[in-house]
Amino acid sequence: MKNFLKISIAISTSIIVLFIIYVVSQQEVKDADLNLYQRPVLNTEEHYLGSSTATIIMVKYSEPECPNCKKLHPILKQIVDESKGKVAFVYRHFPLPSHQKSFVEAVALECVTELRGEVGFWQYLEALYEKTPSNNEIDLAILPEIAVDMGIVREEFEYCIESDAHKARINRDINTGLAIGVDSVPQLFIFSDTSEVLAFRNRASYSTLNQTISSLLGSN
Amino acid sequence: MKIFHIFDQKKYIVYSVGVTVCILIMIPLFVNGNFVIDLIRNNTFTLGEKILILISIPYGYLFEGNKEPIMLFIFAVLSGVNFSGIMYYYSRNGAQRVSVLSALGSGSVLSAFVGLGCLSCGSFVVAVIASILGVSSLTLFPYNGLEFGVISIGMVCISLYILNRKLS
Repeated sequence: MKNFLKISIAISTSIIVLFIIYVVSQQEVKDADLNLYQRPVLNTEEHYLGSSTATIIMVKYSEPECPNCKKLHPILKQIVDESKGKVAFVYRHFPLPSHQKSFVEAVALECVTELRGEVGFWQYLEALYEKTPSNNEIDLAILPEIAVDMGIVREEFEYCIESDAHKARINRDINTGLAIGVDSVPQLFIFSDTSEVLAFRNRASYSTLNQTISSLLGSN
Repeated sequence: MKIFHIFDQKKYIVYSVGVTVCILIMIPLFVNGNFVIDLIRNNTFTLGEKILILISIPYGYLFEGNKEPIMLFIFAVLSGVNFSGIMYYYSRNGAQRVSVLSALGSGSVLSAFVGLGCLSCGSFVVAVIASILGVSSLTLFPYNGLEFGVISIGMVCISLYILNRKLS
């Protein structure tokens, strides 16, 4: 019995210590860069859904090849739709190095935005989520096909993809994420007038987000 | 299966259900540890709101997912049975050593904690392992991290198998 207790206590303590170290390290990043947790301004510099006067803004660092990003997307859209203008959802690019194709997809998203505006961005993103098997398994040859299906001229799209025109825009998003400790996707930050920033460093379910946002709206 | 005879005594059913429920609640909370800490420290929410949000975390995890909730549920139930079995074995055999069983049980919990992040999406633990081995997480875990869930369940099954033999 003593052996069992010793081993159990040792392992439990190790788990708790590892957890505390991880949380504290994340908290240090957060505290050090508190000024970077600025409420985004909803203008043409951001890709967002919802009203520009929304009181709550959800910022999602994401990429098309991450399966959990794909799962989170309709949840965020549903919350925006149900909020009747009180919640907005901002998409920021964070293509992971382990999903090399996601950077090309991010460029494609920016090209579609250039050619078809914000509506095109969201249409193209949803088409990507629908067609990609996730985890870098997308066939990049379908990128122009999706664009052509949306009425974009193939040559214009391909010219844009091959240019470096949008890399700076994507890198800007990546850098804002790195500055606040984003190291995986999806990561979601909720900005509200009445609360400190809330960070979901892992997945967030509809129930949790809905409950959190209802409480924030209640206190507004 | 000799191990199921332990449930003739009601207290082992209680242990088993207790451990199962604890795992079903704790693992999703652990996975969202940063948010939980932020929430507890946040002054905007009332205590009631905080409790409702905390409850929604395991609820959402278990009822709004695909494969992972099933794996978590299987793992939690097996771990509950395993824990009860170990307790029964101790109560029957006194100070005999069963450290392998407890190590397997605890190891499986650790593996489950690792496996519940989005491994293919740059999970903290996998990123560390992958960088140490100098490979990408996709090469290391072709099934997007589901491997950890399977490893966890496998470890509990081995523990249950050994326990069952000891009890026979």
